[in-house]
Amino acid sequence: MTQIIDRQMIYAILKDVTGEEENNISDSSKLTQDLGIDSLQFVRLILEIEMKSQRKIFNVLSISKLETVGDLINECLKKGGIL
Amino acid sequence: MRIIDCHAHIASFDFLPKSFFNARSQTVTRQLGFPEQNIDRVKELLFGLLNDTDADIWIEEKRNAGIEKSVLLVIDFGLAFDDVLPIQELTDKCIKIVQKNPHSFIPFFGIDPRRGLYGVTLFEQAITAGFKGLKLYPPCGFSPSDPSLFPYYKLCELQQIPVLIHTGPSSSLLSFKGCLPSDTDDAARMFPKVNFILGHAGVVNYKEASLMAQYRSNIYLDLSGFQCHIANDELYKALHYHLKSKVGRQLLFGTDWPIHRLANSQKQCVALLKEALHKVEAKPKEIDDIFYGNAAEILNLRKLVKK
Repeated sequence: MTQIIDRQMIYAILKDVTGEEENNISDSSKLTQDLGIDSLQFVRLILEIEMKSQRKIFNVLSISKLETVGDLINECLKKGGIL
Repeated sequence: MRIIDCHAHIASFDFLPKSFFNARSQTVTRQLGFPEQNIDRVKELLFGLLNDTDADIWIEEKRNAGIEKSVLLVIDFGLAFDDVLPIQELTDKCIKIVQKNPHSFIPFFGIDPRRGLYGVTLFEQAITAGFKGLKLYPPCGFSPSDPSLFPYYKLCELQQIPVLIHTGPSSSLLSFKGCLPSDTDDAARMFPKVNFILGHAGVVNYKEASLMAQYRSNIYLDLSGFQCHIANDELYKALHYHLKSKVGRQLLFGTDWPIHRLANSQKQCVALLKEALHKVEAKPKEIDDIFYGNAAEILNLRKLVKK
Protein backbone atom coordinates (compact mmCIF):
# COMPACT_ATOMS: atom_id res chain seq x y z
CA MET A 1 0.00 0.00 0.00
CA THR A 2 1.38 3.41 -0.97
CA GLN A 3 2.04 6.06 1.68
CA ILE A 4 1.52 9.76 1.34
CA ILE A 5 4.86 11.41 1.67
CA ASP A 6 4.80 14.93 3.03
CA ARG A 7 7.18 17.87 2.89
CA GLN A 8 8.35 17.20 6.44
CA MET A 9 9.32 13.67 5.48
CA ILE A 10 11.31 14.91 2.46
CA TYR A 11 13.15 17.38 4.68
CA ALA A 12 13.86 14.61 7.20
CA ILE A 13 15.27 12.41 4.42
CA LEU A 14 17.40 15.29 3.16
CA LYS A 15 18.70 15.85 6.67
CA ASP A 16 19.55 12.18 6.96
CA VAL A 17 21.26 11.99 3.55
CA THR A 18 23.21 15.24 3.82
CA GLY A 19 23.83 15.59 7.54
CA GLU A 20 22.55 19.18 7.29
CA GLU A 21 20.22 20.57 9.95
CA GLU A 22 16.68 21.05 8.65
CA ASN A 23 16.83 24.80 9.28
CA ASN A 24 19.74 24.95 6.82
CA ILE A 25 17.55 23.42 4.12
CA SER A 26 14.95 25.36 2.14
CA ASP A 27 12.95 24.82 -1.02
CA SER A 28 15.46 26.97 -2.90
CA SER A 29 18.49 24.98 -1.70
CA LYS A 30 20.38 23.46 -4.61
CA LEU A 31 20.75 19.74 -4.09
CA THR A 32 24.36 19.52 -5.22
CA GLN A 33 25.87 22.97 -4.78
CA ASP A 34 24.19 23.90 -1.47
CA LEU A 35 23.59 20.53 0.14
CA GLY A 36 26.67 18.76 -1.23
CA ILE A 37 24.73 15.77 -2.55
CA ASP A 38 27.03 13.77 -4.81
CA SER A 39 25.92 11.29 -7.45
CA LEU A 40 25.85 8.29 -5.11
CA GLN A 41 23.95 10.16 -2.41
CA PHE A 42 21.53 11.25 -5.10
CA VAL A 43 20.57 7.63 -5.76
CA ARG A 44 20.16 7.16 -2.02
CA LEU A 45 17.88 10.20 -1.81
CA ILE A 46 15.69 8.92 -4.64
CA LEU A 47 15.45 5.42 -3.18
CA GLU A 48 14.73 6.66 0.37
CA ILE A 49 11.83 8.75 -0.91
CA GLU A 50 10.47 5.88 -2.99
CA MET A 51 10.87 3.39 -0.14
CA LYS A 52 9.04 5.67 2.28
CA SER A 53 6.22 6.32 -0.19
CA GLN A 54 6.24 2.72 -1.40
CA ARG A 55 5.95 3.67 -5.03
CA LYS A 56 8.11 4.55 -8.00
CA ILE A 57 8.21 8.31 -8.41
CA PHE A 58 11.25 9.07 -10.52
CA ASN A 59 12.70 8.19 -13.89
CA VAL A 60 15.95 9.22 -15.54
CA LEU A 61 14.45 12.12 -17.46
CA SER A 62 12.63 13.58 -14.47
CA ILE A 63 15.56 13.08 -12.10
CA SER A 64 18.06 14.87 -14.30
CA LYS A 65 15.91 18.02 -14.17
CA LEU A 66 15.95 18.24 -10.38
CA GLU A 67 18.14 21.08 -9.22
CA THR A 68 16.57 22.30 -5.99
CA VAL A 69 14.68 20.91 -3.01
CA GLY A 70 11.62 22.62 -4.45
CA ASP A 71 12.04 20.71 -7.73
CA LEU A 72 12.22 17.47 -5.75
CA ILE A 73 9.05 18.29 -3.83
CA ASN A 74 7.23 19.29 -7.02
CA GLU A 75 8.20 16.01 -8.67
CA CYS A 76 6.73 14.09 -5.74
CA LEU A 77 3.66 16.31 -5.88
CA LYS A 78 3.11 15.39 -9.54
CA LYS A 79 2.81 11.79 -8.42
CA GLY A 80 0.26 12.80 -5.78
CA GLY A 81 2.59 12.17 -2.89
CA ILE A 82 2.97 15.48 -1.08
CA LEU A 83 0.54 16.97 1.43
CA MET B 1 33.76 30.52 -21.84
CA ARG B 2 34.76 27.75 -24.24
CA ILE B 3 34.41 24.17 -23.02
CA ILE B 4 35.69 20.76 -24.07
CA ASP B 5 34.47 17.69 -22.21
CA CYS B 6 37.42 15.34 -22.41
CA HIS B 7 35.76 12.19 -21.07
CA ALA B 8 32.38 10.88 -22.24
CA HIS B 9 30.63 7.86 -23.72
CA ILE B 10 27.57 7.09 -25.80
CA ALA B 11 24.62 6.33 -23.50
CA SER B 12 23.79 2.98 -24.99
CA PHE B 13 24.16 -0.71 -24.14
CA ASP B 14 26.01 -1.00 -27.44
CA PHE B 15 28.88 0.94 -25.90
CA LEU B 16 28.49 0.16 -22.18
CA PRO B 17 27.47 -3.50 -21.74
CA LYS B 18 24.54 -4.60 -19.61
CA SER B 19 26.74 -6.95 -17.57
CA PHE B 20 28.90 -3.97 -16.62
CA PHE B 21 25.84 -2.10 -15.35
CA ASN B 22 24.47 -5.19 -13.58
CA ALA B 23 27.64 -5.36 -11.53
CA ARG B 24 27.60 -1.60 -11.01
CA SER B 25 24.06 -1.84 -9.63
CA GLN B 26 25.23 -4.39 -7.07
CA THR B 27 28.13 -2.16 -6.05
CA VAL B 28 25.94 0.95 -5.74
CA THR B 29 23.38 -0.96 -3.63
CA ARG B 30 26.18 -2.17 -1.36
CA GLN B 31 27.81 1.27 -1.14
CA LEU B 32 24.48 2.79 -0.13
CA GLY B 33 23.97 0.15 2.53
CA PHE B 34 20.58 -0.82 1.11
CA PRO B 35 19.23 -4.37 1.42
CA GLU B 36 19.74 -6.61 -1.63
CA GLN B 37 16.03 -6.44 -2.48
CA ASN B 38 16.56 -2.86 -3.65
CA ILE B 39 18.91 -3.93 -6.38
CA ASP B 40 16.17 -4.21 -9.01
CA ARG B 41 15.19 -0.56 -8.57
CA VAL B 42 18.82 0.55 -8.59
CA LYS B 43 19.30 -1.48 -11.76
CA GLU B 44 16.21 0.09 -13.31
CA LEU B 45 17.52 3.58 -12.55
CA LEU B 46 21.02 2.86 -13.82
CA PHE B 47 19.83 1.02 -16.93
CA GLY B 48 17.68 4.08 -17.62
CA LEU B 49 20.86 6.09 -18.09
CA LEU B 50 21.54 4.28 -21.33
CA ASN B 51 18.56 5.49 -23.32
CA ASP B 52 20.32 7.74 -25.79
CA THR B 53 21.67 5.47 -28.50
CA ASP B 54 21.85 8.20 -31.16
CA ALA B 55 23.20 10.83 -28.72
CA ASP B 56 20.28 13.18 -29.40
CA ILE B 57 19.57 13.88 -25.70
CA TRP B 58 23.26 14.37 -25.12
CA ILE B 59 23.63 16.87 -27.98
CA GLU B 60 20.77 18.91 -26.54
CA GLU B 61 22.28 18.84 -23.05
CA LYS B 62 25.69 19.78 -24.40
CA ARG B 63 24.17 22.75 -26.21
CA ASN B 64 22.44 23.93 -23.02
CA ALA B 65 25.71 23.58 -21.12
CA GLY B 66 27.81 25.40 -23.70
CA ILE B 67 30.02 22.35 -24.23
CA GLU B 68 31.58 22.80 -27.66
CA LYS B 69 33.11 19.39 -28.10
CA SER B 70 33.17 16.10 -26.23
CA VAL B 71 35.80 13.40 -26.41
CA LEU B 72 33.81 10.31 -27.24
CA LEU B 73 35.48 7.26 -25.78
CA VAL B 74 34.92 3.80 -27.20
CA ILE B 75 35.92 0.99 -24.83
CA ASP B 76 36.90 -2.43 -26.10
CA PHE B 77 35.14 -4.68 -23.57
CA GLY B 78 35.18 -7.58 -26.04
CA LEU B 79 37.65 -9.79 -24.17
CA ALA B 80 36.05 -9.14 -20.77
CA PHE B 81 32.31 -9.44 -21.41
CA ASP B 82 30.17 -11.57 -23.72
CA ASP B 83 27.34 -9.10 -24.28
CA VAL B 84 29.20 -6.64 -26.49
CA LEU B 85 29.23 -5.83 -30.16
CA PRO B 86 32.22 -6.89 -32.25
CA ILE B 87 34.89 -4.18 -32.08
CA GLN B 88 34.55 -3.23 -35.76
CA GLU B 89 30.79 -2.86 -35.47
CA LEU B 90 31.27 -0.69 -32.40
CA THR B 91 33.77 1.48 -34.23
CA ASP B 92 31.45 1.85 -37.22
CA LYS B 93 28.56 2.88 -34.97
CA CYS B 94 30.77 5.50 -33.35
CA ILE B 95 31.82 6.86 -36.75
CA LYS B 96 28.16 7.20 -37.78
CA ILE B 97 27.34 9.21 -34.66
CA VAL B 98 30.36 11.44 -35.20
CA GLN B 99 29.52 11.96 -38.88
CA LYS B 100 25.99 12.97 -37.91
CA ASN B 101 27.43 15.56 -35.49
CA PRO B 102 30.83 16.39 -36.99
CA HIS B 103 31.56 19.43 -34.82
CA SER B 104 30.41 17.95 -31.52
CA PHE B 105 32.61 14.92 -30.97
CA ILE B 106 36.27 13.94 -30.91
CA PRO B 107 36.30 10.13 -31.09
CA PHE B 108 38.92 7.98 -29.35
CA PHE B 109 39.40 4.42 -30.54
CA GLY B 110 39.22 1.68 -27.89
CA ILE B 111 41.30 -1.46 -28.03
CA ASP B 112 42.38 -4.32 -25.80
CA PRO B 113 46.06 -4.92 -26.64
CA ARG B 114 45.59 -8.67 -26.32
CA ARG B 115 44.04 -8.52 -29.77
CA GLY B 116 47.63 -8.35 -31.03
CA LEU B 117 48.67 -7.03 -34.42
CA TYR B 118 45.10 -7.24 -35.69
CA GLY B 119 44.30 -4.53 -33.15
CA VAL B 120 47.11 -2.32 -34.45
CA THR B 121 45.70 -2.64 -37.97
CA LEU B 122 42.25 -1.70 -36.67
CA PHE B 123 43.76 1.32 -34.93
CA GLU B 124 45.48 2.47 -38.13
CA GLN B 125 42.18 2.15 -39.98
CA ALA B 126 40.39 4.02 -37.22
CA ILE B 127 42.85 6.92 -37.44
CA THR B 128 42.25 7.10 -41.16
CA ALA B 129 38.51 7.10 -40.47
CA GLY B 130 38.88 10.13 -38.19
CA PHE B 131 39.61 8.87 -34.68
CA LYS B 132 41.75 11.39 -32.80
CA GLY B 133 43.04 9.38 -29.85
CA LEU B 134 43.37 6.01 -28.16
CA LYS B 135 41.28 4.85 -25.20
CA LEU B 136 42.55 2.05 -22.96
CA TYR B 137 40.65 0.28 -20.21
CA PRO B 138 43.12 -1.67 -18.04
CA PRO B 139 40.42 -3.18 -15.73
CA CYS B 140 39.69 -5.57 -18.62
CA GLY B 141 42.95 -7.29 -17.68
CA PHE B 142 46.13 -5.62 -18.92
CA SER B 143 48.71 -3.08 -17.83
CA PRO B 144 48.95 0.28 -19.63
CA SER B 145 52.72 -0.17 -19.62
CA ASP B 146 52.63 -3.65 -21.19
CA PRO B 147 54.99 -3.89 -24.19
CA SER B 148 52.10 -5.17 -26.32
CA LEU B 149 50.87 -1.57 -26.28
CA PHE B 150 54.08 -0.06 -27.58
CA PRO B 151 53.11 -0.37 -31.28
CA TYR B 152 49.96 1.62 -30.44
CA TYR B 153 51.97 4.25 -28.59
CA LYS B 154 54.38 4.49 -31.52
CA LEU B 155 51.41 5.19 -33.78
CA CYS B 156 50.17 7.83 -31.34
CA GLU B 157 53.60 9.45 -31.39
CA LEU B 158 53.69 9.43 -35.17
CA GLN B 159 50.19 10.83 -35.48
CA GLN B 160 50.60 13.21 -32.51
CA ILE B 161 47.46 11.99 -30.84
CA PRO B 162 46.87 11.37 -27.11
CA VAL B 163 46.05 8.25 -25.12
CA LEU B 164 43.35 8.27 -22.44
CA ILE B 165 43.73 5.54 -19.81
CA HIS B 166 41.14 4.67 -17.19
CA THR B 167 42.41 4.81 -13.62
CA GLY B 168 40.69 3.92 -10.34
CA PRO B 169 37.87 1.50 -9.55
CA SER B 170 35.65 0.04 -12.27
CA SER B 171 33.23 -2.89 -12.18
CA SER B 172 33.31 -5.62 -9.53
CA LEU B 173 33.62 -8.09 -12.40
CA LEU B 174 36.87 -6.51 -13.60
CA SER B 175 40.35 -6.07 -12.20
CA PHE B 176 41.86 -3.34 -10.05
CA LYS B 177 45.29 -4.21 -11.44
CA GLY B 178 46.75 -1.73 -13.88
CA CYS B 179 44.44 1.00 -12.61
CA LEU B 180 46.80 3.10 -10.47
CA PRO B 181 48.28 6.25 -12.01
CA SER B 182 51.78 4.81 -11.49
CA ASP B 183 50.88 1.82 -13.70
CA THR B 184 51.14 4.20 -16.67
CA ASP B 185 54.52 5.53 -15.59
CA ASP B 186 56.74 3.22 -17.67
CA ALA B 187 54.73 4.01 -20.79
CA ALA B 188 54.85 7.76 -20.11
CA ARG B 189 58.60 7.61 -19.48
CA MET B 190 59.34 5.55 -22.60
CA PHE B 191 57.09 7.63 -24.87
CA PRO B 192 57.73 11.21 -23.75
CA LYS B 193 56.27 12.65 -26.95
CA VAL B 194 52.92 10.96 -26.37
CA ASN B 195 50.44 12.74 -24.10
CA PHE B 196 48.82 10.38 -21.60
CA ILE B 197 45.53 11.43 -20.02
CA LEU B 198 44.84 9.57 -16.77
CA GLY B 199 41.06 9.23 -16.62
CA HIS B 200 39.51 10.30 -13.30
CA ALA B 201 42.96 10.80 -11.78
CA GLY B 202 42.16 14.44 -11.01
CA VAL B 203 39.94 13.14 -8.20
CA VAL B 204 40.86 9.45 -7.66
CA ASN B 205 44.33 8.61 -6.30
CA TYR B 206 44.96 12.24 -7.08
CA LYS B 207 48.06 12.79 -4.98
CA GLU B 208 49.99 10.06 -6.79
CA ALA B 209 48.71 11.34 -10.13
CA SER B 210 49.60 14.93 -9.27
CA LEU B 211 53.12 13.88 -8.37
CA MET B 212 53.50 12.14 -11.74
CA ALA B 213 52.19 15.22 -13.52
CA GLN B 214 54.74 17.38 -11.69
CA TYR B 215 57.59 15.21 -13.00
CA ARG B 216 56.25 14.33 -16.43
CA SER B 217 54.91 17.03 -18.71
CA ASN B 218 53.19 14.40 -20.89
CA ILE B 219 50.87 13.33 -18.05
CA TYR B 220 47.42 14.94 -17.89
CA LEU B 221 44.71 14.31 -15.32
CA ASP B 222 41.05 14.38 -16.20
CA LEU B 223 38.58 15.46 -13.55
CA SER B 224 35.66 13.28 -14.67
CA GLY B 225 34.00 11.61 -11.72
CA PHE B 226 34.24 14.79 -9.67
CA GLN B 227 30.48 14.44 -9.25
CA CYS B 228 31.18 11.60 -6.76
CA HIS B 229 33.46 13.79 -4.68
CA ILE B 230 31.25 16.72 -3.78
CA ALA B 231 30.52 15.57 -0.22
CA ASN B 232 33.00 16.39 2.56
CA ASP B 233 34.75 18.97 0.37
CA GLU B 234 36.77 16.21 -1.32
CA LEU B 235 36.67 17.98 -4.70
CA TYR B 236 37.92 21.24 -3.21
CA LYS B 237 40.77 19.43 -1.49
CA ALA B 238 41.82 17.73 -4.75
CA LEU B 239 41.63 20.94 -6.82
CA HIS B 240 43.49 22.90 -4.18
CA TYR B 241 46.20 20.23 -4.09
CA HIS B 242 46.66 20.26 -7.88
CA LEU B 243 46.79 24.04 -8.15
CA LYS B 244 49.19 24.29 -5.24
CA SER B 245 51.35 21.67 -6.99
CA LYS B 246 51.32 23.80 -10.17
CA VAL B 247 49.75 21.16 -12.40
CA GLY B 248 46.81 23.33 -13.46
CA ARG B 249 48.10 23.18 -17.06
CA GLN B 250 47.62 19.41 -16.95
CA LEU B 251 44.04 19.26 -15.63
CA LEU B 252 41.14 18.57 -17.96
CA PHE B 253 37.40 18.99 -17.50
CA GLY B 254 35.38 15.80 -18.06
CA THR B 255 31.83 14.69 -17.27
CA ASP B 256 31.94 10.92 -17.87
CA TRP B 257 28.51 11.22 -19.50
CA PRO B 258 26.20 9.28 -19.03
CA ILE B 259 27.46 7.78 -15.76
CA HIS B 260 26.47 10.71 -13.53
CA ARG B 261 23.49 12.02 -15.45
CA LEU B 262 21.03 10.90 -12.76
CA ALA B 263 22.41 13.50 -10.40
CA ASN B 264 23.78 16.15 -12.74
CA SER B 265 22.88 17.45 -16.17
CA GLN B 266 25.75 18.54 -18.41
CA LYS B 267 24.91 22.12 -17.47
CA GLN B 268 25.09 21.31 -13.76
CA CYS B 269 28.44 19.57 -14.26
CA VAL B 270 29.90 22.74 -15.78
CA ALA B 271 28.41 24.92 -13.04
CA LEU B 272 29.62 22.60 -10.28
CA LEU B 273 33.22 22.48 -11.42
CA LYS B 274 33.30 26.18 -12.20
CA GLU B 275 32.00 26.96 -8.71
CA ALA B 276 34.52 24.59 -7.13
CA LEU B 277 37.38 26.24 -9.03
CA HIS B 278 36.23 29.67 -7.89
CA LYS B 279 36.03 28.38 -4.33
CA VAL B 280 39.67 27.25 -4.41
CA GLU B 281 40.58 30.63 -5.89
CA ALA B 282 41.75 29.37 -9.26
CA LYS B 283 42.83 32.21 -11.54
CA PRO B 284 40.62 33.01 -14.57
CA LYS B 285 43.34 31.71 -16.90
CA GLU B 286 43.57 28.44 -14.95
CA ILE B 287 39.80 28.01 -15.19
CA ASP B 288 39.84 28.65 -18.95
CA ASP B 289 42.71 26.18 -19.38
CA ILE B 290 40.99 23.45 -17.39
CA PHE B 291 37.73 23.83 -19.29
CA TYR B 292 39.25 24.34 -22.73
CA GLY B 293 42.86 25.38 -23.27
CA ASN B 294 44.63 22.30 -21.97
CA ALA B 295 42.43 19.93 -23.94
CA ALA B 296 42.60 22.08 -27.07
CA GLU B 297 46.37 21.88 -26.93
CA ILE B 298 46.73 18.12 -26.65
CA LEU B 299 43.88 17.47 -29.07
CA ASN B 300 45.64 19.69 -31.60
CA LEU B 301 42.67 22.04 -31.79
CA ARG B 302 44.93 25.04 -31.63
CA LYS B 303 48.55 25.51 -32.39
CA LEU B 304 50.49 26.10 -29.21
CA VAL B 305 54.10 25.56 -28.48
CA LYS B 306 54.42 22.68 -26.06
CA LYS B 307 55.74 23.91 -22.76
